[in-house]
Parts: sequence; C-alpha cells; structure tokens
Amino acid sequence: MRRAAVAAAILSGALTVLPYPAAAGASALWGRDVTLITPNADEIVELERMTWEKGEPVTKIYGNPIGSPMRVLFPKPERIIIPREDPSVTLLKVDKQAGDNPLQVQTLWYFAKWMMIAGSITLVLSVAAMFILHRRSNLSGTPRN
Amino acid sequence: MKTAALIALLGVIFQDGGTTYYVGHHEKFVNIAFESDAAIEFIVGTTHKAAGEIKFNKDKGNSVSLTVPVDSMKTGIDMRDEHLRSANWMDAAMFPSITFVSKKSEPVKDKPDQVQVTGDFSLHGVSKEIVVTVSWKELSEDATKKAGFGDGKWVKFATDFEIKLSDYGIKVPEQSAAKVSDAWKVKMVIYASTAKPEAKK
Repeated sequence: MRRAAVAAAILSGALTVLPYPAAAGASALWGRDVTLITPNADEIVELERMTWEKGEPVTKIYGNPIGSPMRVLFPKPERIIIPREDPSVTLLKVDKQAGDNPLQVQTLWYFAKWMMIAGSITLVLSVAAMFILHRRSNLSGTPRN
Repeated sequence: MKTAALIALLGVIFQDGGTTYYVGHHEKFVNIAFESDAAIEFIVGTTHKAAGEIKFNKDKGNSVSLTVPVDSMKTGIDMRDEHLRSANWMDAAMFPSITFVSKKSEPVKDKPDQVQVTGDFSLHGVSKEIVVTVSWKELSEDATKKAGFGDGKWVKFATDFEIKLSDYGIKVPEQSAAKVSDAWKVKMVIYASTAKPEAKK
C-alpha cells in the first residue's frame, strides 16, 4: 500500500510539474504565430490585389481575417501565406468547409493548467496517504522500552 | 399614350435612385466567418452561401435582404457541426435560415464609404433589431473583367458585428461554457452584382 502511495505521489508530482514546461516546449518547437484567414478564391485575390492600395491591410487581399494573431501548432506549410505586399505578416488559410482545424496553443495551455490542478490534488492526497500509512506502521510496530 | 408617358415621368421623379445588387452568384463571392472566443479554443466557422438583394444608393435609401442557410455553416469538425445544427443549438430543422432585413440606413459622418444599417436579424426563430456598419467599395469594370467576375457592375460590401446566442433563445450549456462563448462575432465580405444570379437547376 505504501508503495502504491509513493508511486501515486511520484506520478502526481510529474503531472503537477511537467505540463506547463511541456506546453511551453511544444509551443517553442512547433508553434508559429499566424493570422488566421478564411481564404478568398483565386479570382477574388486577383481583384483585391489589383485594387489594393498601400496602407490598407494586406490580409484583405487573401481572405477574411479572423480574431487576433495567435500561435498554432504544426501549421501545414501549404496553408501558409507570406504576402509579398507585407512579408512581416504570416497568414494561415483556414478552410472550414474542407475541415481545417489547426491546433491552437491556447488549447494546449488550457489542458496543461487542468492537468497541473489535477496533479496537485492527487499529489496532496498521495502524500497524505503516505503519511497516514507511515504512522500506522509505526504505531503497529514493537513498543519501545 | 399620354397616360403612359405621365406614369413614366412620375416614376423618374419618385424613384430613389438606388441600384439593386444581387447576392448568390457563386460561393466564391461570399465569405462569412463567425468566431467564438472561449477558454479552450477560439472556434471559427464559415459559410460561403448567402442569397439576397442589396439596394444600394451610397449614403441613403439603402436596403438589404439576406438569407444564410444554417446547414452551410461549418466549423471544421463534423461532430461539432452536427451539434451546431441540432435542436439544442441552432435547430436547423426548425429554423433553416438566418436572415437580415434592413429597416433604414444612414450615412456615417466623415466616412463616405460607410453606411450604418438598422435591421432585423433573425436566428433560431427570434428576431432582434441590430445596427451594423457596412463598408462598401465599387469595383471597376476593368478589374472585375480581368479577374473573371462575370456580368454586371460589382460592389464589395463588408461588415462585422457581434451577437449573443442567448438573445436568440440559444443557451450555452454550463458544461460547454469553456468550449463555446455566448458572444459570437460575425464578419462578412460579400461581392454583389447588378446581374441576377443564374437560376439553380
């Protein structure tokens, strides 16, 4: 029983400590900051490029921008656009009609938080169990003279 | 003869001068996105289907009537789309369309390429008056011909606004609150033409 409690404590400790660094590592290694767009058809891109004036947002040439720039994991390279009109911007085409659903780092952080919370709770319970079992084994041991 | 001429003259005097633009030629001319920002995920959905008419007279006398089919809305996950259409959410079977019908429009001060449109937005069988600011841009015939747009004179209309699902009788269940927000942003970009869309066979 004590061994099980110790094992649970170790696992809980890992669950408490590892998720955030893992999420940070995944984000750093495989994440990319992008502006999501629902893409325009080629004819629309052609027209928007013809009518675009310097100073206007570049995103409108390529599609309908969604939300604020965000970090996504494993964006498909073929869905990325670096506009020649403004190479400082990175756009990610998201075609919902085709089932595109890029993994957002925001989702990773959310689950990391809850894993940490769950890990903390089970860690406390495991350590409490270890303490109780240790005391029981001491009390049931041979009395001191 | 004289009566016909008089009627024609009266028509010229009393017409509001607006030109009717039609929406629904092809999916590529409609780009509507809807966003929900919740704790777990920033959900984005799109539809490229809309039909209707926009009577456009620049700063006054504008009117809009648009219909979007609920089952054309996709969020990238089939199961989520099924939920979206289900009776607990948009109930597409009972309320198959989302509509907007304008009641009045006013120019926006110091912004000649924008109008403020007041109208009834209907979703899930509930109609509420909303006010949206619409940007417009007349597209040159040269540009639209080169880009292969098709017949007619084209105008681009764009707007974004926010709605709350709860205002339309759609309650986000507590267990879904982290996944779906009550407030949704809608962003529309529509290209409309004076040529009528071809009737679908």
